[in-house]
Amino acid sequence: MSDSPPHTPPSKWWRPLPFELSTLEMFIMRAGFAALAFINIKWETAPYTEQKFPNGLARLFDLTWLGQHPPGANAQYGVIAFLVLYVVGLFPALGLLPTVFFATVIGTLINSQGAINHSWQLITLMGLAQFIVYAWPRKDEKGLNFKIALRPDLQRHRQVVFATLTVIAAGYVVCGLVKIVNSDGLWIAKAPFLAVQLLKTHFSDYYTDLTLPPKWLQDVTTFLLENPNIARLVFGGGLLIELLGFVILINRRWAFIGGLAIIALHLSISRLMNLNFEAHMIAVLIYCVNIPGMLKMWRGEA
Amino acid sequence: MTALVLALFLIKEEFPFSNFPMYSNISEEADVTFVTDQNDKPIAMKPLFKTSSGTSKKMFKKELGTLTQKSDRDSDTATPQERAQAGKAVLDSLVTRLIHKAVPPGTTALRFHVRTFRAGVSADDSPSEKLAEYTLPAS
Repeated sequence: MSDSPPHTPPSKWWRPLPFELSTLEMFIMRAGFAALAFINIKWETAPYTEQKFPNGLARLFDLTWLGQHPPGANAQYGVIAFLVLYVVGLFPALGLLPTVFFATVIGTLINSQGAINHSWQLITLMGLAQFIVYAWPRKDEKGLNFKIALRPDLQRHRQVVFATLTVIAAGYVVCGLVKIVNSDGLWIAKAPFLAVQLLKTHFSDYYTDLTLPPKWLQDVTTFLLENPNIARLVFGGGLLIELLGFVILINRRWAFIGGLAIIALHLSISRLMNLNFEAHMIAVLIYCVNIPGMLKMWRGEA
Repeated sequence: MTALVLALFLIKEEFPFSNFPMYSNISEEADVTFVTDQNDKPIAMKPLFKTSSGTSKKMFKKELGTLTQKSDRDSDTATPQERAQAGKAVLDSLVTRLIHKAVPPGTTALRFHVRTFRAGVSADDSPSEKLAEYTLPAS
């Protein structure tokens, strides 16, 4: 990986460059991501003693040992201790390694039960991207410099944040793209039928914990089916936000705008369909909205 | 980013990679699976199995797809026998995680059902089908 100088020329939307984030901003990002990545791991692995439908690494390895020997408190404290290294920026690749390992193997085991859950992929990929960029040696005039992995400089931290933003952007763009491809280009046309999915998700919640579906549910589903163009407009807006997810890479201001749009999309899905993606929203809040950097964003800094 | 989008698109669902295909192919109907007692009264799945109705539905679809794939058919063409077989496989899997103290008093059996919602049909008129039953051992 070749590094560009800290003060780079202005970023173009078709050729975005890492933002000029400060040490403090990136420290807060690491602290936020460490907490998010740890909490996002489903440590209760005891129920998963089989992998009937192997997925990912489970096609190669038997991961059911995690079900027989769930990672206990000591293992989790160990992971936290390593995360401290990551947060303070000392050998962060090593600090992130146990988190990335457990996130990957536990997520793989749970997704090998026959049901694919989409709560963990994005956060795990963000962690993997950070691990790879932090561990990657720097090429200089003397050859490969591995010391950069031990004590990354400002430039390397910025590259890590940019890699993380790239994962977020790619995740949303592919989500939009797959809607168009899987529906043979008819997603917008079929969008009114999402009304049926509203019924499904609310009744699914009812059968999960006996929470009664909201009273407005039947009225809203009927309205969407009777007013298909309004449904297309509402759901089409969401598709557009996904397809334009790449804007978060352009600069701070676009990251902020794109981030808010993604959070608004999740909040509306949460309200309408009861499908909650809190981890995604928090990840976007940390890296795109970047509250500590809002003043710089407002001033239009790179 | 383009390379990553392409990679995610092609790799599809291999954890931690995903193309996030939720609601990518919108159908005019949607299924929900649930558990009841012997009188068909719904029982909350979360306290019973530490899993959700949504997850059990995905498991059911996966089992059904495996069964129908053997004869190179789509799971939409599954016979009642195949649905019952897939439902039994899911219920058997859920029962291994059963938290006995969460079973409501008086429950002697657990039934696994699928309910289908269709566009233009109200929730009250959406039918359900019993797929499998598990008799609880007498305590």
